[in-house]
Amino acid sequence: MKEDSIIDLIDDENLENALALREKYIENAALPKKTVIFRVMKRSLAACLAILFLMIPASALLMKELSPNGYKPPDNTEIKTSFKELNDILGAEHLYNRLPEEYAYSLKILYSDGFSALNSHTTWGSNLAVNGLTDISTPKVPQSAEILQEYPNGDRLRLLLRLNVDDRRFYTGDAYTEICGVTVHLAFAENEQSARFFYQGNTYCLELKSETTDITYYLELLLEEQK
Amino acid sequence: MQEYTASDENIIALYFDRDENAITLTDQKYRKYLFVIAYNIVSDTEDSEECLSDTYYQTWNAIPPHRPKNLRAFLTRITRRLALDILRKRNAGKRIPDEYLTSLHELDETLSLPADSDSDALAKTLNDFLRKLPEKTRCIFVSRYYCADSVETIAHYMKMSESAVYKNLQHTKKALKKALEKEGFQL
Repeated sequence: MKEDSIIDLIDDENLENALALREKYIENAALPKKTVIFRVMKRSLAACLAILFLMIPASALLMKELSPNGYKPPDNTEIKTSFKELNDILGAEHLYNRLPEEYAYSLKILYSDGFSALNSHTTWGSNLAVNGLTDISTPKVPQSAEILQEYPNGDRLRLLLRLNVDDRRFYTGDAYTEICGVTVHLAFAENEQSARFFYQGNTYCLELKSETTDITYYLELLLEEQK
Repeated sequence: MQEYTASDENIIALYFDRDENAITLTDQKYRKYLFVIAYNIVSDTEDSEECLSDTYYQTWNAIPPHRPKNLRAFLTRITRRLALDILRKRNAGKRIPDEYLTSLHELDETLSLPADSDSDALAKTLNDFLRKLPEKTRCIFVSRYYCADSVETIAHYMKMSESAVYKNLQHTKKALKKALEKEGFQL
């Protein structure tokens, strides 16, 4: 490896300007798009055209069954254990394409007994912003969780998560966790963990299980309408 | 729970007062940002954490007497240098190439300079060149080659296609190469 690169010679002024702009872009990427109204108009237009020209009564019936998230949840809530099954439920489109941008999702971590440990909200598409953490002092339940980095990659949402448990930090590994993708790779820093994704009700769930401490966490991705 | 975010001026003032809350507030405000900078280079969570701890330690030792004009840039420089140190130590091992090495390789493909180049003159040419660039282009260049952000990540937060980011980088590198050659650097 080369010891130094020309980029290391950048001066403070150029570096500061570029970093400030970089942060501005990252923050803006986390905000809901300003074109929501236009998208709503486009959707309305598409709906009108569908009604006027296609005149399929079933369409109206189907619309009534659509969930607030814009897709119809499956009838059964049976736990699905693989992405293939998840994608089969969703059909051709993947999770990323199904997530409307005007919705935020929340990351909810539950203890194995179902006790809600914390709830953190972030905006879809944001890189670094996470807030709304709720502290819980119960031992072995994560006191906090952070999304260290996230961004969509094609049809995948990639997250690097950190869970803080009893002053120790668990990560979703050196590799990114791919919430919706074919391959899931989780390698925790401290304990070997098994992980699986499943879909339950209206929620995409990531179950992280520690094989050494017998602790199971559930991370739920919930869609919530942006205020 | 909303965390209090202190201003950089207040944080620097605490360093000058030798108040350890300075480190706590620095951590609160910049942890996630610095972690990504370190992680982009070392691709390892524990090493990234070590970079952050050392960054805070070195910052504590540096301020005072140093008073950074921009705390973010100051911390970034330290974190990046520490992450590169870890990468160099680890270089003998057969680790998977990370984003930093990929970005460095990209830059070296176009701008391979002799080791005995005049670094002062090189720095002046580079910084004059960067100052003349449009803001967005400069940001893309620094994000890719200083922060080691992936093209995919840059495309996401800049709301551009990956190919547009890639073309922008290619164009900037070629223009920088021309600027360096004009100043007599042998590439």
